[in-house]
Amino acid sequence: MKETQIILISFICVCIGLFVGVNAIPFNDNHQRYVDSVNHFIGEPSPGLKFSGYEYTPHATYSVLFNNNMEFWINEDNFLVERYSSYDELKDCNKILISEKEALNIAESFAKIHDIRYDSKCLMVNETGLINGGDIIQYNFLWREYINGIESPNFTYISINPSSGKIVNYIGINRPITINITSKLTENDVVNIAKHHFKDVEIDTIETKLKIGYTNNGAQKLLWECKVYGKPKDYTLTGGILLIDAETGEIIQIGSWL
Amino acid sequence: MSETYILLLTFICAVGLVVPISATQYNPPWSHNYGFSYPDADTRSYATYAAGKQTSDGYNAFNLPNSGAYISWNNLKDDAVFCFEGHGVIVDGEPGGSIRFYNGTNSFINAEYLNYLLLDQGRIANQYFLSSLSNEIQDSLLVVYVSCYSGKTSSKLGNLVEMSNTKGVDNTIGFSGALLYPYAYYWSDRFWYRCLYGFFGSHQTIRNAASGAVGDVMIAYGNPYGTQYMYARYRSPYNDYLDPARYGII
Repeated sequence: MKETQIILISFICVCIGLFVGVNAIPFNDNHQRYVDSVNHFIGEPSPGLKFSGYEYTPHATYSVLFNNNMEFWINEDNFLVERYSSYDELKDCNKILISEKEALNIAESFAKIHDIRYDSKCLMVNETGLINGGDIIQYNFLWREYINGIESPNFTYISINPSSGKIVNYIGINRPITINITSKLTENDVVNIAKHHFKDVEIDTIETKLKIGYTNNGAQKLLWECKVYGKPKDYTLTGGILLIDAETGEIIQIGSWL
Repeated sequence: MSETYILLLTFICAVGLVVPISATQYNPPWSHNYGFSYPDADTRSYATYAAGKQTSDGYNAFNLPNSGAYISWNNLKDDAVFCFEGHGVIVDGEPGGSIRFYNGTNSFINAEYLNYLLLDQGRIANQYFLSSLSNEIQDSLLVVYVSCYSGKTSSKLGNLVEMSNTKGVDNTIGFSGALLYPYAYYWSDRFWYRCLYGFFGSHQTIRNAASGAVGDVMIAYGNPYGTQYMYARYRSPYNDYLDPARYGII
């Protein structure tokens, strides 16, 4: 074989190797279903979609796909797009050209189309409105579902560019409730646990709520969330947050104010 | 001395007044990360994680747990990246403008001197003011304050994010509200991860990584736990990356 032919064959082999290497993104058998999910979500074919990898949360595993600067998180169990972020829509996020009411209308219209259980959720007024983040100003809207007064893990969260009115972020979570939602602990029990845990804190107020959450190993649990606000010490907030198993009273997560 | 020499010397002095004196720029660029074992929270592992990601990005990343403010103050002028993972400050009910270092005693870096000094055990604490700097941190690429109220303005101590921005830091990220550990540190871990791998397994801009990390907290925990009050100043046109390792634009 001539030297020229060897060089040519080597060159072709290297090119093939590079092509295969670059495109050897670990799609699994469900890839087409991911693509279909995203196409359904945005309402049109999205030819540039690329698989990015997996993300793990306590309540779901997600496949993440990108298209230009748009990020889609697809739940591995139900193949629904449960998270969408459009980073290009952060452009001009420091100008306020639309009102909160207009932004809410946009968010509601989006949620009605994309969230199958939007109607079961109520707007959380205290967690809604314009957030001044310096160079990123956004309207944030949060809807939560309550079951017999207990906060469920189901919510819809939408942030809107106050200049363009475009959707920057969407998260829509809908999980079936598979546990008994009767607490064995009373609110008084929870307050006593918190007082004992934060015994060195001069407590101002304690806020409690019953919620359905997840442990780090993915188990659904009825929990008491207890926030303790203490008087500042060394110029720092004292107290913190406890997540308490509503059945056993076990503290499953401890946090502090920073 | 001839007239020519006098004119030349005058010119050199005039240039010296308008051209800023830069701090030392090392190769690879320096980054410093500070976490603490406070009596009520241990933030050291988060600073360790941040330093690890910066090392992967090519920085000479230092992780200095339980440092006093004076160590950070001395390093700050030579840092391309500064990361603080710890307590913010609240004075007489008014939050913001300071971060609290802890090594058995408290010391502080404050935004602005507004005739107010913090005390530690009844004595004036060791504390430093960003407002006293001239141009030492104007070549910083990124400053991150993962602490309560670091982006909130206090009438006693100023605003850390705004003062950092005023002093020439290209990108500064803080929070204008109260944060809860460990959720805030999930934001931190995700932010540093996203800076490297956030966009299709490749790097993501600092602005997009910071915004994406807020969504990461929300989807993981069902609540942003204060991270939605992120308050940041980015260098226009908002497309800076953490890599390749470098100092900021003067």
